[in-house]
Amino acid sequence: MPTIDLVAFIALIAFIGLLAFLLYGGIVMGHQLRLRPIRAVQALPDLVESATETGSPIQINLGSGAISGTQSLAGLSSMAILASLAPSVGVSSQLPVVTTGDGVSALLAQSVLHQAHQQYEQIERAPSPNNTQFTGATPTAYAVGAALLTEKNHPQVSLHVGQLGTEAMWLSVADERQNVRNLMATTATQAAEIPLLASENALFPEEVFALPAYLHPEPEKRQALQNSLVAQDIARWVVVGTILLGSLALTLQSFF
Amino acid sequence: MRSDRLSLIIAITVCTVVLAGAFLGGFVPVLADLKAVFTRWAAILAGVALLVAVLNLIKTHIQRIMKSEKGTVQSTILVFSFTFVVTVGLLGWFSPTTAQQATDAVTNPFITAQKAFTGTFQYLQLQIEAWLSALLAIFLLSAGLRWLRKNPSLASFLFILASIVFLLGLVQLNLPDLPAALMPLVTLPTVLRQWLMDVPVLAAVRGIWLGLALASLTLGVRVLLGVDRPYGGD
Repeated sequence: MPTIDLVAFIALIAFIGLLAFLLYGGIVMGHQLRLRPIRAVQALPDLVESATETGSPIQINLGSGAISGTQSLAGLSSMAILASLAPSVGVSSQLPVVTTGDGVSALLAQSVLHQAHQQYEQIERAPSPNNTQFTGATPTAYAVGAALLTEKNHPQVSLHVGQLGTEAMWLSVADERQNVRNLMATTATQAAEIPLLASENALFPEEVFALPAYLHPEPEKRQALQNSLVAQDIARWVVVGTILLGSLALTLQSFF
Repeated sequence: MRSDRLSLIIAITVCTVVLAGAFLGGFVPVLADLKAVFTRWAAILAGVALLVAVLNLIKTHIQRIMKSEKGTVQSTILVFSFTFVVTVGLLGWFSPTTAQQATDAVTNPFITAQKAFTGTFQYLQLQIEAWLSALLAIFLLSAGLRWLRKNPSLASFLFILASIVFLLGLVQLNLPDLPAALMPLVTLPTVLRQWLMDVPVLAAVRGIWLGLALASLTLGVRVLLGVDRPYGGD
């Protein structure tokens, strides 16, 4: 095994151990965390309420992140967010309409909605296949299909959360034309600035992965997710420290 | 055993085997083989899922046509295009594979179908997508200006300034008669653009990548430990 693989393997095992300790040990110890407030997340209940009042469906655009491809974790993050949002957005008289640009994500999203319906009494209606729409296989085709769906359904609120590239601008244009209030967040680094330009409620790429820790309806599960953010922060400091030490070592090496 | 418990056991086992195969495959060949098998299964299932999703999309549009809902024209175009592309794609699949067969069969309808299939993507789909992507640049700039108008902050001002520098930096001026003393003024936007790309933008992008990598790793481990279950179960 090459040395770098061995180092990566040891680092991964250490991280899994730390995360497992914080997930399970943290819950046992009952540590309460105070999360940094995110403006877009704070605006979410108001968005959901406005949709519930008018009885219009909320459109959730999960982007074109494929679960089975290189963007699998972005796709999985979309599912985690949908699972966290489903109980609150499913209480309006109409269930949310979820769009994806990937076949596996479409099936999983349908499964997440069914699961939420079975688990939470407040969701009275069972989801139909029309609640999850695959709108296109390429990012542009996906965005145009989702934008057309916005024009057809006239939702009061749209949530664009997932692997969205520059094509997210099309979704924003459709929202603007229909006076739809929105929240936008993408995991794509090449389009990190788009949410800032296109939505009043914007999130940075990394915050997308943290959303379930803010939104999950079950307190115990939410606490577990928040503990995983602590593990992530510890790992971040270790990586930052390693980068700084490495830079220092290289600088000193050039002198001697 | 409850089905969600079974899903959890299968998911954790498969995740562990694939992860172990990635790191320890060189030492334990069976792990590498299992990883390859699971990855192949995933690819096949993803293909089937795509087919199901496409069929659901077509069903939705056929329903819309039947009910004469708003957007019937677009739905009709979509169903017609889908039928056309699938038909020529399937016919093209039977086209001759060897060069000799292809030469012998210039008027072969299967070859025509294959050309129509590739042509649809090359001359329609790709061109339309390229055209839409080019239009996005205009939307981005106008969105930036609107952002500056609505929210005149340092960030929005810097965005517009950087956009102007980037656009000017892309302009290639050929001014042979310009005095040498003025030349730095002409090359300044290009130099500034390169510096922006190499220093602040690269640093910011690396910061975002680092954060994303750690967040992705955390999510992956949560799935591995069964805390996140996108496949079902509470």
